[in-house]
Amino acid sequence: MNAGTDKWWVGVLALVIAVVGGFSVHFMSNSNSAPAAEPSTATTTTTKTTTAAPQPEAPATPTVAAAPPITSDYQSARYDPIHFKPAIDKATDADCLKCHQEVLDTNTRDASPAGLKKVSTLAWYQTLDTYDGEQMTFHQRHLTAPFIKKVANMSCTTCHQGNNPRDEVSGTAADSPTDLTMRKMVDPNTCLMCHGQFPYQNMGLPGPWHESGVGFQNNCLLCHAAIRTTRHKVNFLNAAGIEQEGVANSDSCYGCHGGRAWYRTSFPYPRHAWPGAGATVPEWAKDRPTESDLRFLIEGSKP
Amino acid sequence: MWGWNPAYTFHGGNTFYYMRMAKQNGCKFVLVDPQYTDSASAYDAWWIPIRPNTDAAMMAGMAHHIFTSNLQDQNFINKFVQGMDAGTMPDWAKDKENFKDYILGKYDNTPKSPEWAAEICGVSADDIKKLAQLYATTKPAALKASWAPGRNAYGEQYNRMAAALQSMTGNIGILGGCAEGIGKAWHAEGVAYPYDEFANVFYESIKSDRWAHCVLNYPNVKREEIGLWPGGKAGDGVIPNIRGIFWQGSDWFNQLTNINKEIQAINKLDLVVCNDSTITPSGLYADVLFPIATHFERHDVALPWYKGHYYIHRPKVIEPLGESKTDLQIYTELAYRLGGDQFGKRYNPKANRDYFLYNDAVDNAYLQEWWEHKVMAHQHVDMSWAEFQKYGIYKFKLDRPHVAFQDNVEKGVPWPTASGKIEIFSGQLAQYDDWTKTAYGYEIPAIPKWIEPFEYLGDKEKTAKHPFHLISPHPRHRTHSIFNNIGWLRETYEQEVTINASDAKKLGIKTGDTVEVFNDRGKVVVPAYVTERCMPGVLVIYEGAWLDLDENGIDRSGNPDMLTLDEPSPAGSFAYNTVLASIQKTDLAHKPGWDRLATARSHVFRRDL
Amino acid sequence: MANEPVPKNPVLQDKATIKEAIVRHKKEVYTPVVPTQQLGFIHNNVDCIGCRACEIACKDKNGLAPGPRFRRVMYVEGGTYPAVYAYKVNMSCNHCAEPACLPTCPTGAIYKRKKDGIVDIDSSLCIGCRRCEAACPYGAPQFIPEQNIVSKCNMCVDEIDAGRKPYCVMACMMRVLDIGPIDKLREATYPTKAMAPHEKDKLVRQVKSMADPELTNPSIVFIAHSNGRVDAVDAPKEPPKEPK
Repeated sequence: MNAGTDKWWVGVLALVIAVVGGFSVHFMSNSNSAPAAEPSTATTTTTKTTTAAPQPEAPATPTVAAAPPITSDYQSARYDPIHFKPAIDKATDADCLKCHQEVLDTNTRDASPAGLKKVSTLAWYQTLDTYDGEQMTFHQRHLTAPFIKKVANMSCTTCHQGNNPRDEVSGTAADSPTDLTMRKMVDPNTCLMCHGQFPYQNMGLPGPWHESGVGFQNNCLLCHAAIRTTRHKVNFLNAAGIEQEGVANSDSCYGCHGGRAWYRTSFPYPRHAWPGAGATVPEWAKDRPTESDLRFLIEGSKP
Repeated sequence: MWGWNPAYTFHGGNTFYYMRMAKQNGCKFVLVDPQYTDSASAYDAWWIPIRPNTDAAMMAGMAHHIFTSNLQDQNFINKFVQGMDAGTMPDWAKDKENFKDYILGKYDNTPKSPEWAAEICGVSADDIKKLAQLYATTKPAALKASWAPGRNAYGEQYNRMAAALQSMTGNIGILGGCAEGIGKAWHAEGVAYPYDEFANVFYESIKSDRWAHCVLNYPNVKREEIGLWPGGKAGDGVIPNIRGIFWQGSDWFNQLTNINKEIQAINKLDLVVCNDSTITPSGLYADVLFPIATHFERHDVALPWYKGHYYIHRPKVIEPLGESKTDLQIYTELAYRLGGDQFGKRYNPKANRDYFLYNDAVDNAYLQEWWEHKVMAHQHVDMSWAEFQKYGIYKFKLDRPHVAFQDNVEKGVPWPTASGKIEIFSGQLAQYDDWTKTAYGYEIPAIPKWIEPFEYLGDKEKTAKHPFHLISPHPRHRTHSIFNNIGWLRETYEQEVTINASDAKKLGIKTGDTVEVFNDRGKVVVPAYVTERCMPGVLVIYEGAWLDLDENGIDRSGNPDMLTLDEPSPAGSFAYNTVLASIQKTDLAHKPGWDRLATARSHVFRRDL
Repeated sequence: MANEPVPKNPVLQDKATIKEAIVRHKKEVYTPVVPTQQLGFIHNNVDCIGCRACEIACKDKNGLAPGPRFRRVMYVEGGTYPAVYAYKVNMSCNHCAEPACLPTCPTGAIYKRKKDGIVDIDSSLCIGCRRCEAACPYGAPQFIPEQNIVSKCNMCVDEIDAGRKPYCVMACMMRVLDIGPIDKLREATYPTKAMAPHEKDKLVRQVKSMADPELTNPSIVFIAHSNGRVDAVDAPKEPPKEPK
């Protein structure tokens, strides 16, 4: 496996060199001709459109249509209570998008500044079967892409819990919000829930899934049809949708359980004992909670 | 560190780093300041919060402890100091008040004890004694009495009181001590460009923050009100009828006190000329604006502010943009136009009339002459002018630490005063009989004393109306008002009012709330910054924000000089930090004077505002 | 041209064939580059005066308009008047041993240098999907709206290659920010003015409110304020882990 990966990287290196080479030729040819269209022109135009203040002509998405006039006072907008606890817990996507529609409207560039087209790029984790459609921004991928709609009910506040407008760290002022992560708009622990490593040791597997999966017919449900927890019963996931997708293709399970791992560690999920689970708690699960975080519990299912 | 925040203000090349090294070598720091500053945190200082404008009282309390505990360096006092006690009074003034007896309460039956001081300055008597004990018994000890507490009503009493403490403990003229005010041990060779014989043909002057008062009340102005000076010359005491102002790189509407009064006054003038490289809020009031070349557009040398032992070459990097000219080009041309060829030539001897168009060779000649005939000749510098231009910097290597007044202490050189001693009792002040004919206008006692300021937290009557004391220290992100128009710095720092957390809670103010700070002189609108690092009862707005007036004359940018008092201290310092004000939440918008969204990280997420 | 994305088979040009190739390489994993020597930052949280000259020098070097900030000095304060404390935490990109940004990039624009472990984004390959920005636990990648790309600190690679230190370090008047081989910085065996010899026991790899370094193993150490240590007495409880 490592060999394959190595080759992949050699390839990227070659790619980088090729692109840089291509770019310098492009640049040199520009220097003795009239200003040629930069590859970025199209994107620049897009940005301009989205920058223009009120957009009566813009195709109104349902969420923006009924929006009340937005305050023009930057100071009060920035410190609007909706950006902080407790109001942020009640904020709907529509509330957020009144001002921040841009995060969904701004698309990726069609091509990088050096001309690398987005349709011809793919990352290693996008090799999972479940990865479909064009390159999108991470906001689009997490909120509006077809796949996320099937398996999750993500909203802005699933990840965003406010930030300190002074400089994004807690404790910068006597009354600043607390428990925020330094320099970061979102607590990475939230990301870790779906972007952590596959904890094969805890699951009693002989190796990581990309190695050991074959021995289990690449089918998570081979075991997990019987060993079931209630982890997916949280408000930002669509448990039924996941079930359906998982039956159809185990990559849907793997995607969130190691297949898109950004981080070195895996998320310490709460220990939900399933019917028939042994009474002894294994060492690795000793200090773990037995319930999901309160803010993720589905209404009515709270203990 | 008394009112001193080296993390924000530049006092000598690299002082803040040298102090870090001192900390690593075991030096202990104390900060006396209404704010727990970043200097306090970086140097791990013992913070003693003090009510603004009461520093002289606390120092008097320290002096009391030192005298009553007999901790003073009596040898140093006897040898070098005039008027510290009865024994050091000059013969002609044996009947006048001396400092020690003032402190002990001999004259007014009020000993200036730590307990007495505690009532005034808000520092506990125990802390005053502890600090006095520390200062008097730690050898050497540097009392760095900075300038901000002096920029107050009777601020000179604070500076002189500090000098009394420094000299009674023998901490002057020794390595590791400190003689502030302006105890420079190093002097740069200053003037390179011509300093002509006509530089000043009119010798009368007034205290500059009284100009508006003078214009508005002319001719019904008393000379002491404006500090008219000097007396005894022809036309003595004639109140000036100010008809015009010529600003050279001076931004009064961001920098002088009581801006509303200035606005009234400027409308009465016939002519306002402004030389500047940007259009400042002051420039908006000018009749004539001269666009001035920046430092990058002219050839010059930078002298260190304010004690560094180096010179920096400043080459002309680009030709001046647009119609910009250097100040000297403009003045030379004006000299030719006003006084013809003869005056023009004498004004700028190395130049011809075409200096207005071609100044490079002449400028280089002046700088080269300065380097060769002043720097090289007087300061034992071997590096040639050509080499200096090549290296860009010349740093002096000192054979030993230069200590201010070392020769006075070690070699018996007389001090540069009338008596040749450190004058805690000032012979000059003691001999004035008509204060109105002095530059001060009003009496200054011959020895340092605590004098109640025009307005402060101890004033029950005035604090009933405006309960907060506003101070306006230097910001770290501007040089006074300069660089407020730099996008990067606007992005990096906010103009805001700092308020103590318990005060804010009472008023329902949270960090980020837009508030108005006001008194009878004006009103500003700023965001609030709520912190435990500020003394209760104190507000802080950093000076130099660029004025942005709305239709009702309210400054939306947050320039504290809308609220300051244009009543200078007798010795002349502006009372920038002698201000009572109120604060409350407001619906008015804060407008820092630029597109905030364009300079904020948030524009990444929202660009429609 | 420069568009060949799957170098194993240079003839692949369209999405369908790519997909096909993908099935074959399914469930590949990403293996981090292990540098010969990892450079990292050291910052003295206590002695820093928070002047932010490093930030401005960085913006100057990188030609950044107001908005994106590669480096940020964060002010932290606490206590109750008059017993207060304050310190600064200064971070840009931490050039992690196992950067989270790198595997997120769909174009290969992000790379880690073998010789010194510097993580850089080749802006010319960036399509502005902003995944790296989301993945980084330390907020290093910065979106440049005008160009619709993401950019970040590259430790001034050009300066490093020329044998000098990055602009932020050179701009630090207090000498509280420095770079060096991270293993030596961690052992306190690398000579640096950022730390006084007696401050060795204050060296930490994580300070309060900072994301868990276990996530990516960032190449940074701090001389922490006593109240900034994660084990500080009045430290708030670990932010609640969001279990699923």
